[in-house]
Amino acid sequence: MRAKTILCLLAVTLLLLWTGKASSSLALDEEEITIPPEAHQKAMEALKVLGPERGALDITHKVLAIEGITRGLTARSEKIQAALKELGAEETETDYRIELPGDILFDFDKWAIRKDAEKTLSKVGEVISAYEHLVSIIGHTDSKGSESYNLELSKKRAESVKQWLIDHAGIDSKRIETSGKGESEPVSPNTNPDGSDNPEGRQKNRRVEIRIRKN
Amino acid sequence: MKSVLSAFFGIMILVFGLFAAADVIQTQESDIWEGLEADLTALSIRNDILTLRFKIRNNGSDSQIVEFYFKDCYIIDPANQKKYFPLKDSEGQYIAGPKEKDWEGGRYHFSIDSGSSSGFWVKFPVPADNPEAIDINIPGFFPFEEVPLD
Repeated sequence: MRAKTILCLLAVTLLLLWTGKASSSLALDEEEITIPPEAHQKAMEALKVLGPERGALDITHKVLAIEGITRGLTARSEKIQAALKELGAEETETDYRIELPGDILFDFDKWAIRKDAEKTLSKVGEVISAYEHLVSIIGHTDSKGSESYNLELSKKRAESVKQWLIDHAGIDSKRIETSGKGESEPVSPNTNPDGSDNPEGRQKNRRVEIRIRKN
Repeated sequence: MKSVLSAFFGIMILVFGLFAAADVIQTQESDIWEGLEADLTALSIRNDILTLRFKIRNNGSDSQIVEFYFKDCYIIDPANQKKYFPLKDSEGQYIAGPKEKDWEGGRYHFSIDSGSSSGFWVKFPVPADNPEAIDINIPGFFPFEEVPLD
């Protein structure tokens, strides 16, 4: 009798374990990311290149080095902070966000940079140069014209700003990504509540957004 | 009979406890994204290569966009005060994934809905001095400390 009970309990335990494990591994498989099979081979090659130290950095040494260069960066930093203020940049945890009015940068319905805009863009270039990381340039339009036309115009305008920064501020093209949002992300209503045109709102919506990653 | 039942339930509790604990090695909260937690779900060593797997869970009420660069991930050998970055292939790409963009060796940039999770993995060199434990730093999350290298 006792042996029978033990066997039954053991069978129940095994069944519970099997079903529990099966369901848990199913849930994990759905979420788990597969590591490509070639990754390990690549890692072995990378390890070989690193040599016996395996790319180790001495933490204490690094900290001292950073302290050493901090003073030299202070003056430069003050200049950049002034430029950010002048551009009306908004600072977030990860980046600086600058919004440039479209009417300053471009003529109506055009995507070539206006001569008057170059001073502003030079300041943007100074800020971008002070950081080593990526920059996103996003074009926006108002709602005049067709959606597809505005989308294309916003892309071309973002691309123009990128090209100007490459040509005149010496920014590496690989650091800049561009996109166009057309009229899809207005910051202000394009029309009044009664349906009439809202030129002020539309003016705010014609803009180019620049996001400069801080780290 | 009483002793058989007690032993049975004792074993059940122990075994289920072990199964439950086996899924996650350590969990850390995000210091940037509200409601996000990262689980270190697996750590394996082969040919002096350390492979780490993580799962980011969104326990918050809003969808979150998680973004970091693999170049900013690193491990620390606290006993010997050494820092190690992920391994890089011959094209300058970190051996890690998934990557939304190849920028700067690879960027993780994914939207995680409330109640959902997303995984990633990274390969590091095993620290040269073979420490017993390491600290792991993933941008946006508190450090995983004293993770044993068994």
